Amino acid sequence: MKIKTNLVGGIFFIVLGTVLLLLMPNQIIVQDSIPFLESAKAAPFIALLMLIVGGIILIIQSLVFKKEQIVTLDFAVQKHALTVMGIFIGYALSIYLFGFLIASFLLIAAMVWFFRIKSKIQIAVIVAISVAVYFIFINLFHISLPGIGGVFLS
Amino acid sequence: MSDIFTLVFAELVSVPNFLIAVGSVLLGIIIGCIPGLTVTLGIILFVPLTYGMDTITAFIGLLGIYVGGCYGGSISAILINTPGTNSALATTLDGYPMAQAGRKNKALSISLFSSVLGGFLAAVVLLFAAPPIARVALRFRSPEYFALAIFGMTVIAGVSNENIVKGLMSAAVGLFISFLGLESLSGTLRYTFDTILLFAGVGLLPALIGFIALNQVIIKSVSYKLEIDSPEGSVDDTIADPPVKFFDLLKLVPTVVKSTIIAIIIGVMPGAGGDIASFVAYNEARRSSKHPERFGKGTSEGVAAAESANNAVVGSALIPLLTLGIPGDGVTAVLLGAFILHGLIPGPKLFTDQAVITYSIIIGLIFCNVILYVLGRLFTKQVAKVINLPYGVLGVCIIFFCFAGAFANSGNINEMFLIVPIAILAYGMHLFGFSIVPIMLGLILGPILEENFTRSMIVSDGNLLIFFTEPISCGILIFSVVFTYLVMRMNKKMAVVHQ
Repeated sequence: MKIKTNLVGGIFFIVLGTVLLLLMPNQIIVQDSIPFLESAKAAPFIALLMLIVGGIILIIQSLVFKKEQIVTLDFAVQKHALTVMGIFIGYALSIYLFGFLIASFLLIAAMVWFFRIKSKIQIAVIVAISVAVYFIFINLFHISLPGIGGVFLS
Repeated sequence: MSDIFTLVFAELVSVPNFLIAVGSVLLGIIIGCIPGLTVTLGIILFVPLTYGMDTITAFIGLLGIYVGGCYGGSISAILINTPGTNSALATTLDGYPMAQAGRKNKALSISLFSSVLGGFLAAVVLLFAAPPIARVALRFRSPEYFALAIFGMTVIAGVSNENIVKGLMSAAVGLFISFLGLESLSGTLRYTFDTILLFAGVGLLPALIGFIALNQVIIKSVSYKLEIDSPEGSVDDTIADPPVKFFDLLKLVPTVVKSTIIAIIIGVMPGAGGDIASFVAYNEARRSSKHPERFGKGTSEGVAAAESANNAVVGSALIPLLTLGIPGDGVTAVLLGAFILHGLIPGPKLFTDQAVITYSIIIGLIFCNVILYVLGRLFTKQVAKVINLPYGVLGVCIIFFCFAGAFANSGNINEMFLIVPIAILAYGMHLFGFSIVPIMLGLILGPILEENFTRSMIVSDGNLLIFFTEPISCGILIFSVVFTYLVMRMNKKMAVVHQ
């Protein structure tokens, strides 16, 4: 699937910027007595304005000046990206549920399947590093990580 | 002043600092030499580990990775024609032909010597140039700091690939994310959508991990997955030839010194990083050579020029960072973030309020370059073997560090959850041609911009012209516009050179 990134990106950010601007009165509540430029609204307003104006320029570049950066999105390629993202989500959830160590073993299983790692030495190295990261963070750098058991035991 | 230097040397020769310097430089060489692992990634992953360290030790570690990584990039550039870091691209031009001609060790020894000498000289320049600049900058107030932050954003011009509009939009995304949650001056909540997840905003470190590190894991995992079906085979990592003798290396000193001077000038400019410096230095070495026809075919001067330049940028990029709080490129932007995470605000006051820490960082950089030479001589051959390490192993290990690092930032599991949607957003923007570095700049410079903008508005009763009526602020803003134009022109020329 070929995508005109200037056109699609421009439309996406105009819509996003406009929606966020419309939400501003509810999402940032400041006293009426504070001038706008001195209030907490000014900086996000300018950032959103940059997004909208940038989006308009991108659309003009695409439609008027025919300046376009076309990207071919191949599902056969992007399904791998989606798989990795799914693994990230699963890893984050399993850290919450089971703690860092058990979740890391689940991650290793998923990535060994994904990368088709067959070498036992490589798998052993990854397992050793996951355990090492856990203990290095806790014992050497005194940084706590979600312990074994996660939310169930904490 | 002598008291400060006594304290600085006492800090630097302490056992923990020495061990961290050695370990981080070695880690930097390893990270730099593996294509796909960048110095920026290495520093982001190392930042969470520094939380338990004192500030000086932490920054010696971070700079060690930076210094080691810049040299490490040349190892894969020379051995497999694939630069481990962007700044080592120019090194491939003569380094790889030297390797093909059976002169791998010679190319590596020239690279090491030039990297160390270039890095060392630039660090010395940093030591002497930074304090006077900081003294001038001490007179700055909110409008000038706002203008300086805008000047810092000119890095966007250098990293926006083909379309600067997309770069500015990326920066706007970063700025907007940095404004989420509790506003520091008035205590107003912004765009929290009544979820506790966003009350404290998006932490800088989780954001950097999501946008840079985890995003790179997705990109690299996809390409590695596609490569699995058509493996290229392992790289021949045997290095059999003898290194260049020290006396012969000294003949390269004029090239190294000239390239270092060029790199120092380029390195202090935001947006013009090590890759531009190394190409400009390489071109100058070729232009002024008695044998320009030898360039591109494996000449020592080509490797020396490129490598001394990209390592010299480390020291020179720290000049605007330490004195004015302006990051020169992606790596120094992350270092600026690391300063903020450690409770330090880079800028002129650093040299008065935190003199021992500041001078320890600068002299620590000199130490790291000396350590680089020793480690490079001892371990380059061994480190070169990690080029063959499969990404399947590396990728999983990086994921461990990303999630552990995000959690370690505040001990809050919510921050760990945030890195996943951030990485997905970053990957989507990457697919659509939006550069990620401007997002990082927006994230880091956003709070600085907002604070000084709001203070300027308060003192001027909301008069936007204050930025133009104050002469220094006006000068910086005009220079920012001119500079952006110059960097864009330089980028176009560089694109031609790359092709």
